Parts: sequence; C-alpha cells; structure tokens
Amino acid sequence: MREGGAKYSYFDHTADVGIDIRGASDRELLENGAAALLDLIVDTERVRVDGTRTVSVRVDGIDREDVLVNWLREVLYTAQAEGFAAKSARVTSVGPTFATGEIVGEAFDSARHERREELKGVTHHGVRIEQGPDGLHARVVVDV
Amino acid sequence: MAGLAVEKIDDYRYRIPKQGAMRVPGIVYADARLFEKLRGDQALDQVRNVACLPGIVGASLAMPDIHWGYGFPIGGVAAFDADDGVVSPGGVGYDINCGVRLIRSSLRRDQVASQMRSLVKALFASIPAGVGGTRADLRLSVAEEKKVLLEGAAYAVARGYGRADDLERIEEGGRLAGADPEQVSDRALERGASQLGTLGSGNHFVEVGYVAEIYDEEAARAFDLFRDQITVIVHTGSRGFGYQVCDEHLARMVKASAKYGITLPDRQLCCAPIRSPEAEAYLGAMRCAVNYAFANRQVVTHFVREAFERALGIPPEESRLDLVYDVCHNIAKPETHRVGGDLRRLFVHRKGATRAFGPGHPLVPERYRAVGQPVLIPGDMGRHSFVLAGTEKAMLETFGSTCHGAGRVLSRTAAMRAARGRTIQNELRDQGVFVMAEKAGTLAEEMPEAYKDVADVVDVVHRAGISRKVARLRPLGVIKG
Repeated sequence: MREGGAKYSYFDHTADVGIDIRGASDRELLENGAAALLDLIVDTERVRVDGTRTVSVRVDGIDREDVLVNWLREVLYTAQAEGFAAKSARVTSVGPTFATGEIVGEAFDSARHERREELKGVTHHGVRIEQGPDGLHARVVVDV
Repeated sequence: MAGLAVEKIDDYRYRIPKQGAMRVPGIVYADARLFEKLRGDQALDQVRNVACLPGIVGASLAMPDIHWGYGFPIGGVAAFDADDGVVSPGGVGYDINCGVRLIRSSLRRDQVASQMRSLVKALFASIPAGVGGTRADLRLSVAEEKKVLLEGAAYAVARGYGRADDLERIEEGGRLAGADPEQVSDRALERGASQLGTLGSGNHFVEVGYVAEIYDEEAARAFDLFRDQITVIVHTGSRGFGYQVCDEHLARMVKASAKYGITLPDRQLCCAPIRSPEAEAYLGAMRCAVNYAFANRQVVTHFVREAFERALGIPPEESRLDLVYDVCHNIAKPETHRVGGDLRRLFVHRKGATRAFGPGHPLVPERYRAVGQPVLIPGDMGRHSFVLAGTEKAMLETFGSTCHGAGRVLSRTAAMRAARGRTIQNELRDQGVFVMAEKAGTLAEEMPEAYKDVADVVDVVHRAGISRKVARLRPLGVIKG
C-alpha cells in the first residue's frame, strides 16, 4: 500500500481501513477516493492502459455523501470482478444526487497483476464531506 | 467519548445510562481491565448509537470482545420488537453468517503431532484460501446456486459433502427458513458462483488443535470432548455473496431510513421497520446468505475430512471427525425471549456475538440439551480457543448471547509494523504451531499479539455467568488466506 500524496491517505481503524480523501472539487474527491480504493485492491502501477477495457458507471444518492459512497461501492464491485484489473476511475459528470464516470483497466493477468486485499464493502459509517481551507476533505471506512 | 456517562454495575458489567436520544441504556460486559482499554474508544459511542434505534428492547448490549466497528460495534447484540422494531443490515454486517464450527475426532494428539506438516499441507491444498481462491470443480450454475440459498448445509450433505447427522449439530439446523432468492441480485449470484467451499482472507481459518484443558467434565462428556483429543475449527462465512447482499441492501436502507423518517446517529445504522417492503427484501436476501454460509462451512468440513484421510491414511470411520456444533457470529433472526416476565417475539441482531442458549431450550440439540448449547470461541492462531456452554443467565440478561472471539487490539497496519523484520511463521513454529497462508502479509496482520488474549474475554463471560467454560483448545496447525 503506497500513500497517495496530496490526494489521499489511509488512517487506522481497528478492524478495517479508513481513507482520508482530498480534492479541489467533488469530481476530484470521487476520482481520488477511487484511486485510494483501487490501490488497496491491486497494484495499479502494473496495470497497463493499452488494450484498455472500460466500464461505464452511473450512481445516485440522497446527498453528496451518499453519492460518494455509492460511487466507491461501484468502483469496488467493478475492480473486484473476476477477470478485471482496474487502473483508475474517471468522473464524467457529478451533481448533488448523482455521478457518472468510467473505470479503466485491462484483463486480469495473474503473471503481472497482484490482488492485494479482498475488501468486503465501502461503509456509510461516519461519512462526511467537509470544506477546508485547502479544498474538500472526506473520510470513508472500508471493511476489510 | 467526551461527555458519555458510564457507571459500573458490578465487577463484569458497565452501564451507559439513557442519555440524549437513547431509547434504552447500553450495557457492556467487561472487567475493569478490559473496560479501561475501552474508555476513549468509539466502540462505546457505537453502543450508545444503537440504543437510539426505534423499537430496541431492553438494552444495547456489548460483549467483552467489543471493538470499534462501523455503525454497530463488533461484539454488539440488539433485540428489536418484532412488530414495532427495525431491521438493520449494518447490525449483521457484510460477512453474513460468518461463523465457526468445531469438529471432534477420535484421534489423540500423540497420533497426529508428528504428521502435522503433511496434514496442514493437505488442508492447504484442498481448501482454497485467500483472494480469488476457488475450487474449479465446484462452480455453480444459477439454478444450483439458488438451491444452495434455499437449502443451506443440507444442499451440501445431499451431494455427498458431509453426513446427515451433521445437520442436527448446526445452529438452525443449517438452514434458515424464509430465504428468497428473488431478492438476490445477479451480482451477488455471480460472486457466489465460484466461492462455495472456500475460506477467503482476513481472519478466516481452518485450525487443527487439541483439547488442552477441561473445566466442566459433564458438559465435556456431552460434547464428546476429552483431554488431548484432536479437534478442528473452521471459521468462514458467506464470502463475496454475503458482502454483495449486505452492500446493496445497506444502500437501499439509507434511502428507506429517509423515507420512514428515522433519525440516524450514524448512516451505517440505516434501517427500516420490520414490516416494511425494504426490510422484507433484506431479510429474504440475508437468509439466502446465511444458508450460503452454512453450505460453505459444510463443504469445507468435507474437505477437512478428506485431507485427514489423505494425509494420515486413517479412514473416516476410525478418525470420526464428527461435528460438535456450528454457530453464527453475524446474523439477525426472530427469537422468543422473556422480557420483564413476559415472553416476547423479538428480532435479535448479533454482530460479532454468538447465540448461547441455556440448558433445556428446545432449540438446543437434544444430545446437548441438559448442559446447554455448545459455544465456540476462537482465539488467535498462537494461543488458544475455548468451548463454552450457554446458560440460563444468558437467556435472562443477553437474549441468549455471549462473546465471539478475541477482538483485535492492533489495527492491521499497526500489526504489519510490529511484524517488520520478523518471520511470524517461524515464531509460531517455535511455539509448536505449523502455519500456512496464501499471503505472508496475512500472518503479520493476524499474528497473536494483534489480538486480545481470548482467555481474558472468556473469563468475563464465564464470571458474569452468560456462558460457562467447558474446554480449552491449543492450536497445532493452521491454514489462512
């Protein structure tokens, strides 16, 4: 597990993993959150983008926090699907009650790709998006 | 934790009195030492939060292995009125019917100890563990998978994975009624298709051990346990199938909570009235996952029996390998309990807690009924695990519930840090435990010091009287994901 620089970091949660996500906009928050999640699942640096497979995603939610969790849930499902190695996720549009985007990757190849963790789910526990002096900040707990 | 009032009831119980939006008090089973460590932990806030949910009855309970979860604490028990209460997928968790079964053999430790390496290797070769581990010969068609969801452990037994008498020794007989495959998504079915008979990763394991100590001769006799007897513990659940069911229904319940005007102290506690379509949909799917997990542990048990035969050359009729019992750790189900002198139909959620019904209860298998339900409490892979029996006091105080395990003290990253520069496999070997894992990192995350000593947890439930100690098991060989 590497640290995501200014985009995300992980925090300790007794039985699980917490992700601190930062971003200048909701779009960045969703993309950086996806990067943090993908990095737990697979060594994304070893996933190539040529020969790309793209999965389109659309989620809704009752508010921004719900949209963030539902987006990450969708990323998690797609990235853990059999035969797929995910590299990154891109948001195409986002509003207070929806987001659309795509997850990019390639066919899973056990010779090159390494599955890291089997994540059980992205929880709704204590999730909130806050505006700080240097941008948006969100905390999400993932059940490992 | 600032501001949460807590008072001591007696040496093994603490009360969080009703405050703020709490509808009932919280009660935490712990001794002074365990409780001291809990102070300042968000787990106590979570006990309080659960006490705020509509229709909760009695108290929001926490067992001594309580730790910070998400929404409900791990080690939490909450009962809701069967008419006016709620159902909460977070009160069951992602690994629906994660649970433990104990298998006893007729073999003595000295017959097996010298062959432990080959036995563990045989187990490791036949039981898929870790991320993505599957048995190619067990891929299920959608039609077959739906049978698993309806029939539970009986599905496996009918296909040669086990014996008919296994089924009598499983909580709920290895099948929860009311499973509704129509409430299960294609995604869940797809994830479940290739994971029957697999362990998964994290804290799941198969452990060969022996009976190191007996505390209660009568109960040990009823459970057919004797000193130095070889035993096997299987710990796994409903795998990706259950995670997917929980995940999808949690998302729906977030919306349902808003729809029904339920104020949530934490969104992960999202819930719906028991008689709502959202709750019925969740329960129909949850029961499918419960049955999947029963079938999963049943198939793994069959692989354990095969591995013993292959590695030791001892035929099954000689080694026996009978099931003692199988308990669920993460489940919600209707049960009848005495509350304030009246019998009430309740919906009991156990999240990281074990049913522990007392002597005489009709749901305890007849062969154990005089001494109480067998309760299996796994510890870490280096120290010990315990066999307990349910008590009448648990029926009166905890809706027939007790602890479920050791509980973590180190986060996964803290454990990885503590393990740096060490070889956990060698350390365990020096303690007489031969361990194989799919991934070296798992051994670091799961090393003994990452957990409380389960003996401390078990002492609390024993002294508090909500279950009683029957036997202590020591590990000899373990496989992990």
